Amino acid sequence: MSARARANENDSGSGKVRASDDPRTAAGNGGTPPRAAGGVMSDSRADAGGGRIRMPLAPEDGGGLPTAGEGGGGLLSAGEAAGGLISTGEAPEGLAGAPGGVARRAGPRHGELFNFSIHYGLILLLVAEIVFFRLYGPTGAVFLSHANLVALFGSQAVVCIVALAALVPLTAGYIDLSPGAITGMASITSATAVARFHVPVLVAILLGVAIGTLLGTVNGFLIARFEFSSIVTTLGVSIALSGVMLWYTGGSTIGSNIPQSLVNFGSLNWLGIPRVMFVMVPVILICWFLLENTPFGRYLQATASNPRSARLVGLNVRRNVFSAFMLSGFLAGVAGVLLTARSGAADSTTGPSYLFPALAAVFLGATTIHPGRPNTWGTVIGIFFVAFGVSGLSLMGASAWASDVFNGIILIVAAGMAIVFARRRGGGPRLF
Amino acid sequence: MSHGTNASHSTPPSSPRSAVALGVSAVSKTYPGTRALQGVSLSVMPGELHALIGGNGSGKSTLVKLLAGVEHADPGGTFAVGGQEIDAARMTPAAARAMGMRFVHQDAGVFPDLSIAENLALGRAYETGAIGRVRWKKLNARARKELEGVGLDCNPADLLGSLGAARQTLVAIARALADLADHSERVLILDEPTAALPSHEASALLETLARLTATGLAVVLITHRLDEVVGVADRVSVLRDGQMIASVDGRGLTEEQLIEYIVGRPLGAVFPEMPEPSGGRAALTVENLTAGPLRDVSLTVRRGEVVGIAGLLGTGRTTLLRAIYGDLTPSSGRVLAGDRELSGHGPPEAIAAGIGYVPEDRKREAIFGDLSVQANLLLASTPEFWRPYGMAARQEKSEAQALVTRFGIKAPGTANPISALSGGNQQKAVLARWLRRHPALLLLDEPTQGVDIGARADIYRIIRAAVEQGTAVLMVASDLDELARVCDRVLVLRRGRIVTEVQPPDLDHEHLTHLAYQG
Repeated sequence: MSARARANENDSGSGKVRASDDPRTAAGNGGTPPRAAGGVMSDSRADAGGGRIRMPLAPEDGGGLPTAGEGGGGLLSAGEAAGGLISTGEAPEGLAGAPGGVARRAGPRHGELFNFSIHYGLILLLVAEIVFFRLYGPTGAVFLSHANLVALFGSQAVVCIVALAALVPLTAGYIDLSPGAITGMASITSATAVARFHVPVLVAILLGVAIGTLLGTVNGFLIARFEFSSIVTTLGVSIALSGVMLWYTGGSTIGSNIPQSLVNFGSLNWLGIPRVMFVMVPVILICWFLLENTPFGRYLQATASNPRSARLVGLNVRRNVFSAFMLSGFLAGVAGVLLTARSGAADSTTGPSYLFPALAAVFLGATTIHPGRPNTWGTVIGIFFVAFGVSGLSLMGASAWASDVFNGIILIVAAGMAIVFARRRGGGPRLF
Repeated sequence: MSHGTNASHSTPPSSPRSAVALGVSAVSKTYPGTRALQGVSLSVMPGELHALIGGNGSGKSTLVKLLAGVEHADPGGTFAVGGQEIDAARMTPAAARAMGMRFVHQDAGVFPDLSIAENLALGRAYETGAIGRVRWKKLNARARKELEGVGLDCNPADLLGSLGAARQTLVAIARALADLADHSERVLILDEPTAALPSHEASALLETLARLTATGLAVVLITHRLDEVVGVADRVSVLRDGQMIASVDGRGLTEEQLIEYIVGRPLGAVFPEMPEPSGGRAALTVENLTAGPLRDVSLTVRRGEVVGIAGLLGTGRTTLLRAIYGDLTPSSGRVLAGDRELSGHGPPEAIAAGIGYVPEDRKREAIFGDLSVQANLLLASTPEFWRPYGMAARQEKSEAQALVTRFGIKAPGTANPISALSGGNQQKAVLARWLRRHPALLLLDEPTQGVDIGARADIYRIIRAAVEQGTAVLMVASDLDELARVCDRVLVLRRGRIVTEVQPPDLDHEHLTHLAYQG
């Protein structure tokens, strides 16, 4: 069920609840009421949704089944209980204008250290990880060597941009399973253009990016215009594209005749920095700016939070979701061209294989910086947390399979910690 | 059945301890940064309908959570059910159950897609035969008996969803009571069971509860509907700011007395003084609007005027507001905001014309629960803070702070998620979202639903202050008394048509009730 469908369902569910108080209470008489002893008031009725587990696409409150936070059986649930942690200022006072009506702002409910660690925990772990592999005997000598860092950063550029491509629609609450396949299509398109049709490199790059954008537009059209489920649509697109790629390449690699300039861009350094970083870093910055510092980014966050409210505060939800998928396709297109440059070739399987690591980084990143919300810097940190870990493990002599095991376990541990912290805070992140 | 006389503080049980069905003694609860309950004591007698009232944040729900064992009290207090006493800090859900307490939550935790019998069976195990087959006949027979216990005469095989909200709550009560029969002390605790019910259904529910107490069942009713407390409850306890302010005899109690206990100040007027209708220019003109259940509706709202819409559920009240706002496209008719005709395609056009909409279902249609108070306040004004270098974060923050102060929103901070606020403060934030834009017209759908009495007074004042600035208000409310007191005039909607307009001096509760329900 798409987030929009959820909104419509919500819509039909409204209009049932009636006013509850009786305002005949209005006629206040002049008696002197008992005064409070200036106690502090806890807003225990607040429905903080604490501990509420909600994936972006999970049915919400549907079918009468209780979610973890709502509890069945008429008993008060832990989720509601968590709402009691939030306190407000003082007893009811006059409103606006009246000096007494100003809410007293409560201080941080937990220590600074606690707040710091839930926001920056993954960064601290990343630093700890780097320190460990630097000091640990068998890896220490090479771990932070220039050669290892160049290899590490160079190898992460493509998956990082694929992750950002998945991040953009997820910011609006729509999961996108197609960036891997679109990356593959863009890679094959650009490789074919230069290798078989001998077009100039710049044109090939533009073609790769254009095919990515076009495919993102198709996703956006189906999901925003026709309100198809994003998970089903992008899964279908992804599978179909894999088939198309297999048909076109016949399972072989398009590797000959790739111009040296493109291959050099993928494999060489400028100023000791991998050239692909000169694409990756600006893409990260642009994503961050768009998603965190523009109305567009705010609107996507609002859409993820409550699509129905988003419409009613005047947001063009449809257009924003469409734009998000188009941008996702564009980014996957960039990643595809970079993939061709990086590997000096293109095949039907490499692009799609980036999907899981990319999504894992997005979800891992959602545990940090803005816990509970997928975000750009978190995603980047997620990518490099895994990359440094895998690099260290392989320097220790671990087999290739160890990296996947590491990646998977870290994801589960980080998401689990995010849930625990969120329950302690009394406000649940919406993603886990 | 009532015990004791009016007292300014909780009365210790006058009879021996074993006579008390539920005893709460010196229970406190401290959350980080706040004391939710301070030395609260309470005695509920067997066969007593005991109302526990208080404003939002007074600690009612905290007390229920402690009793249910889902949260733990500070050390020092005790709970007692019948003769059994337990350290309040050690209460667990299992202990609460074993001692004979049953809870029915506001949402009742029922499953509309399952049959009534299944809903009842979920509280215990299904009766099964060989190879785990559910024995439906036995299940249904047992269900029927349990339903009779709460005065429900319905087929256990029917889907629960086919019952009205009040009867669904009764099923939840039947489920809670089902396995309580063999307990010596039986305590049923209902948390806001009537919050979502229309008043006639609520009173039917309360009558059933009163009947149940005749069997010796002690009922604790947590509510903020004062009208249902008066005349029904044997005894009323009032919580304010986590302290037990009073525990008084229910007989002869008036709503005014209760309000003063709850709010802790004489309300003077919860409803503000009504200024003279201004007779200014039209802020909204609706001509021959037909949409959904609405037929040929025409109306005008002038600047500085509050116009109410009275009508029963399903008459098209909400449809009217949504059609004006462009959330649904009318099949015919015109909507003019000032002199500007709206096409009815989407809210952005209406917002640009200076219209703001406060929907009825706050949680689902108005707020962004997991976003900050600041985001909720400013989302409709995002472009205002957009600069070439990005969002003007500092200005946004100071504007949010200013709005929180100006509208008296009690929030621990503007960066906290809005879902952490009480319903009344959320509603103030939704109002502030629109009022900061100085709207020409504000559409309000049940603006004080689920809001406690103190915040209601604030909301009326906010609305009145905006009206004095020239904002026009079109307001829907089920509560006809609220309409009569807040509005300059009220249009009565019946079966999709505006049948009459009521103006002072005829504008009163009884008259509106008569008009809305008639025919």
